[in-house]
Amino acid sequence: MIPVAFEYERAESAEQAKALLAEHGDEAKLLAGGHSLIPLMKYRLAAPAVIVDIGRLSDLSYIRDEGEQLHIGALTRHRDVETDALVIGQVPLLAAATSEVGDPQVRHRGTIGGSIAHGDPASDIPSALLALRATMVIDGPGGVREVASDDFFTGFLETAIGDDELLTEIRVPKVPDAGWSFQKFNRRAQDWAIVGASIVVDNGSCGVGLVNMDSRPIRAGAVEAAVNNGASAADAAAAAADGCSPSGDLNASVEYRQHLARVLTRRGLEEAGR
Amino acid sequence: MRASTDPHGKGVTMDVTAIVNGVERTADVEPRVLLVHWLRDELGLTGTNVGCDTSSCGACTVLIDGRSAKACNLFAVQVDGSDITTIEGLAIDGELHPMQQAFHECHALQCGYCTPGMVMAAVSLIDEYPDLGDRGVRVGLEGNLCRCTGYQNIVHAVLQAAGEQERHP
Amino acid sequence: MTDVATHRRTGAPRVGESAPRPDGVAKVQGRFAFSSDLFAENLLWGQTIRSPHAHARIIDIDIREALSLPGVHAVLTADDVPGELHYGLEHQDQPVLAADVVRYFGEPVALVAADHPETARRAAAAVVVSYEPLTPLVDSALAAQADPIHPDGNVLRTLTIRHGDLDATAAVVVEGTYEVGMQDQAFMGPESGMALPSADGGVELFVSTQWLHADRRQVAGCLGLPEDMVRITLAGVGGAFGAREDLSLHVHLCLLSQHTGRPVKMVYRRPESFVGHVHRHPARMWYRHHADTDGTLVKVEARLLLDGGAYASSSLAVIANATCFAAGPYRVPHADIEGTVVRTNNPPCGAMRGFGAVQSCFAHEAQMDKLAAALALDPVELRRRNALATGDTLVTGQVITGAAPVAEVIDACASHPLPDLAAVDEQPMMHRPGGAGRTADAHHVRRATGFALGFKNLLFSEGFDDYSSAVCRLENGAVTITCACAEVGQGFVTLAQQIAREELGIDEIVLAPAETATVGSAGSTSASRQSWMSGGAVQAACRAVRGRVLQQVARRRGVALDGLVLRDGIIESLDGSVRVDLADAVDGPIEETAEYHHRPTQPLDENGQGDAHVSFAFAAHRAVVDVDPELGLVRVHDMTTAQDVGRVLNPLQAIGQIEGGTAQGVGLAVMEELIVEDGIIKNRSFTDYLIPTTLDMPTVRIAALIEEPEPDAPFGAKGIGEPPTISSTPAIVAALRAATGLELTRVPVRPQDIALPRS
Repeated sequence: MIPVAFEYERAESAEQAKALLAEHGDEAKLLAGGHSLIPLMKYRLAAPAVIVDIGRLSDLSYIRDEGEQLHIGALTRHRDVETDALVIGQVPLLAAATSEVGDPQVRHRGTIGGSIAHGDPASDIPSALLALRATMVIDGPGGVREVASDDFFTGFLETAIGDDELLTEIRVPKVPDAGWSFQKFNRRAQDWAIVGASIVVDNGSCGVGLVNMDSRPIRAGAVEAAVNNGASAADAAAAAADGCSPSGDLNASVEYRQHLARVLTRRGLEEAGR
Repeated sequence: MRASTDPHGKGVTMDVTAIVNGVERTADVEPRVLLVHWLRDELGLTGTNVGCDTSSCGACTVLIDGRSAKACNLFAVQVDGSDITTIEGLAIDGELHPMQQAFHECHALQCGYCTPGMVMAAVSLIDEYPDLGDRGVRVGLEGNLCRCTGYQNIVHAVLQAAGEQERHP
Repeated sequence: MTDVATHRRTGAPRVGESAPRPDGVAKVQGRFAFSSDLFAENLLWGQTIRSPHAHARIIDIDIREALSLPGVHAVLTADDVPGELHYGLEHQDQPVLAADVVRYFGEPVALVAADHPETARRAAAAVVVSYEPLTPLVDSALAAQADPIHPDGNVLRTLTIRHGDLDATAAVVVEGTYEVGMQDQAFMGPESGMALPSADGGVELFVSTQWLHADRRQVAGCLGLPEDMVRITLAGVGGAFGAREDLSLHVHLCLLSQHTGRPVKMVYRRPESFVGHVHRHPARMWYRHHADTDGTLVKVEARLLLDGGAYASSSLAVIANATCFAAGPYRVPHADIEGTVVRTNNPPCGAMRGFGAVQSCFAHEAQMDKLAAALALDPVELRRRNALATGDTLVTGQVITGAAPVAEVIDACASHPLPDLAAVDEQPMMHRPGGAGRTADAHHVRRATGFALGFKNLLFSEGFDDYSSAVCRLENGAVTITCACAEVGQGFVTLAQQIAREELGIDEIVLAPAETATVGSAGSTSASRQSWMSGGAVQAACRAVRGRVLQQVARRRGVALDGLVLRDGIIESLDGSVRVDLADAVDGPIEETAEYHHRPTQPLDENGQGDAHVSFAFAAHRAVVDVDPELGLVRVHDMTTAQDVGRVLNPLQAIGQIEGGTAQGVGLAVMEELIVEDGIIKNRSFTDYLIPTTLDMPTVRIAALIEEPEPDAPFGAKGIGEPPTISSTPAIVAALRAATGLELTRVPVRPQDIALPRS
């Protein structure tokens, strides 16, 4: 379908973007790469009255070495993240998860910020950021604040970003020597994950983020705790579905998703060197 | 060719200026007009096809600033200032681009509906990755669906064209 | 008449060579006009209002608000259909627009024409249809006993085959029940077309379709017009695979155009396309095979139930195929087979490449493997022992008189070297099940091989007098071929040129547009029939032209007719006294029309016996799969195939058809299914109806194209489009069974069927 008509504003700067958001409140949606929002608009599942296009904010597209962390601008395209030497070297899990997003055309336009700001539990990248304990930088009328990834995904398609705020940066701790694994299960290439798991094991401390195992991207806390307590991969992974409420749909039953979560987590832990 | 416009007045429109196939094109479009419809209905470039509603099939693939993108998943207003190449703009001095030539020679098309998008995706792919093998080409084209060929000849064609590119960059 | 042997030379490719597509350059340039690219001045846009219910009474249709919207030029209902209210390929049971009742989800109820697609959409949303929902009949097993959902009843057709001694028994008996889900043709170019009113009160229709003249017959009937006032021209088709054999938007476009007096265009979006055409019949099949201890088949019993959905379409022919070929390409002396296709409130089903044989083959090949296991016999050897050959009798009582190199097909495929695949352990992660997702664990992956054999008829059956027409015109040394054969991607346009070159020795062959106004019917692009039927028509028309040319030259030059040959555009006499360029040889144009018929077939009697088919084609597939049973992840690594083709007319095109057909078999095996709940299709998009991508498709290797010429066929060539879709699916599932030890009695196989078999 043709999307519902909307008013279009193009932001030339982050300040202007914030001003436009402040002006239009919850009637406005940000447009970055468009690969989360536009599919919804074509089905008229989303019909914002105002679109603020931030796709031109090239100064929010960067990958910087900041000592213990990489700082990635929210508007960095997937293609640039997946091929970046710093990312590949310092946070290979993120490069791997990003390389699995959609297909090459999607990765040419979609952005890391756009992807996570959408808050879709079926997205690949949020699981990696949760496992990596990344933090998100949000800029709004009240100033700049940093939100831990644990506090960022608040509900189905909901995040900590306020209606008048802009996600500007993602900060990812470097883990060049960590064991890691990205496990994405789909029945056919190009598809969303039916279930996926991002795993980081660094000095016995473990991060596990799950794809499509709840109404929002979540961490497998029980698995992490088990690993931190010295459990084997198999034993720890048995708890992968604990505390999750995956949905049953055309692609998989609840029981099958739970099964997949346990198997993928175990294999991910094994690949990560657990 | 002009599409019929809503005689009751378009909604608020925006100026879009983009280089399309080497020619500067300007238009006054509603923001909600998808790039693929602007190309097809306003600019008459009907080579780019619409095959689905979910950005799955890739029949709408064009190049934006040299990189493949699905034109069904962008508003025309987003490409203001960009350099767009559609299948119609691929020929070099009136001659078939090596990718087009390879598709034709290798029988990499039957009905041809997926072909423009497939060719554009392939051009972008080997531009970024000149040294792909069979598997790499398949990964690179996973966003383009074909129902007629089973893909085998498409992969041959892309590898053939890549070889050409290597010989005559 | 001299029979010309056109010896080889330089010049454009002829029969047997890989001629390039004449439309290939336009297609790679994006200049080829698909039906979605049509345009006219003063165009209106059409939109269809469809039922949201699988079964409901229509209480009222209120079009007032829709009509009042600015820019709306027409809102039509069943009351506006001037002619026949129903249409249908075999059985005229389908309403142009629903009047009192809707019988399937998405059934057309009303139409809108407006000056902009957006206006048309808004107007469609403004049409208020009041429904009284009824309980949908969705279980095919209950249909025969249920209250009729249509005046013509719920049983569309039952066919019984009683062959030999129904009481025959044998030492080894295996039984099984199998199911095939609803596959969709999923062509890339959605339904589209444009109708324009003609000055004489008729209508011109440009449309993507498979059979122009069958469309014309039905459209004219519904419009209340004589057929020659409906002029249909084939617009560029983005694939068909059976889904365009029935009408979709044809009458709708013409109604809107006639009503408004303006050109009207319609393009379905993908979700609408999924409800806008027929699908492959879902099937439930029970089988019992009886064999001697040495593996000789003695009897096959089968009960097949196909769900035809709301309207008949070509269900009557599909069930005939499924039933006639239910025992498989084997010698079966005794058979007790019954096939039934029923009407339900599920989506209508009809033609899809393979046409009934796909469903049966899945079942009979599973049975053969079960039998092989029970006999401790190699599955390929079991098939060899029972394989049909020329001279054998089918379960319909028909003796195979044509080519039937089944043993060669089996041997070529089964003995082809296995692909040089690295052991699973050594493979890069990318090559393991899961492809790009890399989830497969080398320690758990199991590799296995499966084999299957299939067949079906070519051409139409049961006494239908099928034919194709073609015109050959020679003027000023140039040749134009006119044929209404619908080119849907299969490459008939290429073949037509090759045949004309072969017969006339001229390189430059022009193809006129396919339309009803200038040439008779070419029949349907289906049943793997066009190379034979339309190829035969083109050949005959060209030969007739050649004959007249030589006659003219013979008369004029006073030489014997049988002393003349036409070769490479030159007519020469064997004694060298005559040598003239074709362009100079005749005065004025020579035009000949040919109508090609195949030999007559017979209907099936009450025991399913009769010479109902013209010809048969056989194919085998061998699949290599890797399975990760813990995840249920499958990677089809390799498909090797051998096919009985009669003669290869164009090697590249033949192989392309085989690769494409195999892909559709792969899809049915592991990923393609329309999920229908209470009559509603839940997955009307390419995100949820999964067709294979480049990464899902294995390498397809051709072990052999067996060329044993078919005596009756032009050039000895058999049709090749359908066999690849038939044996491919069961070969993959056989491999999956070997890898998992699971019964896997249903396709498509889902990952959870492997990972959690009891859930």
